[in-house]
Amino acid sequence: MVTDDKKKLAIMLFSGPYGKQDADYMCRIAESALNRGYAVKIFLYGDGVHAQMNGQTPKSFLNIGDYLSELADMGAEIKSCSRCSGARGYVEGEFDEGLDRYPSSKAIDAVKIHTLYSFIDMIKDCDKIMTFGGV
Amino acid sequence: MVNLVVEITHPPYGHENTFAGLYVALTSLAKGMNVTVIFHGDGAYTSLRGQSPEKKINVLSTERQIEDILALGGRVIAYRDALVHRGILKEEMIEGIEILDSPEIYDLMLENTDKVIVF
Amino acid sequence: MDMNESICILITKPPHTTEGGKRVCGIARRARDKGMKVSIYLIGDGVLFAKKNLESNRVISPDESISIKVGMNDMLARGITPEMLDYRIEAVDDIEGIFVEDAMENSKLVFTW
Repeated sequence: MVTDDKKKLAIMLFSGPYGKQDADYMCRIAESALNRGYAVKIFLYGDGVHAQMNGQTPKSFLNIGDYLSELADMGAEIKSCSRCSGARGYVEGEFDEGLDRYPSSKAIDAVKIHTLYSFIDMIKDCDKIMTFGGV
Repeated sequence: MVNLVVEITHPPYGHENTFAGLYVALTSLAKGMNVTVIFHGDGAYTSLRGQSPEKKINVLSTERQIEDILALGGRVIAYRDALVHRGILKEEMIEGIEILDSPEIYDLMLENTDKVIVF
Repeated sequence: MDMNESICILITKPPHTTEGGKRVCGIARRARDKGMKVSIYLIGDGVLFAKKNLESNRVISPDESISIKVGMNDMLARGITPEMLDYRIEAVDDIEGIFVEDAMENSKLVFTW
């Protein structure tokens, strides 16, 4: 479980899964960080929001949706951009204050669709930031 | 205060990267961070002034984002090499964008930057 | 280790696709010239930087100030064998773990590309 005294790592994913390997790299790094006791906060941005898609069944690749769920079980906080998610058809209603997320049956539970401000807070608060898929 | 560099490596409009990166820069400035945007490689094309994407291709203007970043106190820099390779002249650029050589930009990142995000 | 003296670079992209490869080499060399310690980690397509005989502006040569590690699995997956590396480059297992710890504990700046 995340505690305040752990060093914090923020990670941004900008590419979708499978077309490029960036999501794989991101997950591997996040897992290593969690195993070493660091707090990990992941933000899916741009096409990176597709990593949250429910029901992924890749035949020949690592299942990124399952990997994200495992990372969340290990304590990672995972959010995705509401604007990018909305553009790509994931957002299904207004922001739910109680659940602290936008509703979506198309996204895995492990990922909370949230505002870009949550990423900005990650940038401010985390000790280090890494980006995957921007280039 | 966090010193953030946002690097833009794509030209505007063909990829979402440029708009998304500038949006992060703008929002970070609004939240009190010290922000420098750096145009590298094809990102140098973003510095061209007179963009009219809203009228012509129905997308939001990265030129306007840059103007907002400058107005909020952010710094916007382009690699001189990247501009020269692409034939971009100073008079063709959005006012307020600085042109620096690679060593100066590397020094900025190594000496005065806490975090780097690359788009 | 004094964090102000170290930077960490993670490379996931191949050397020649964009100008990014040249830029990353430039940052590494500049940091070294300023007396900083540079740790470079190559994963994914970034392992291709480790292959011998690259053109000079994409080469980062390991020395007292620059260390380069390459992910063994990613390297072998791409047909790069240890004989094809500069002898000073270290191929490692669990490169992600080594990188994360170095980045979080020892480095002033982390650059991922």
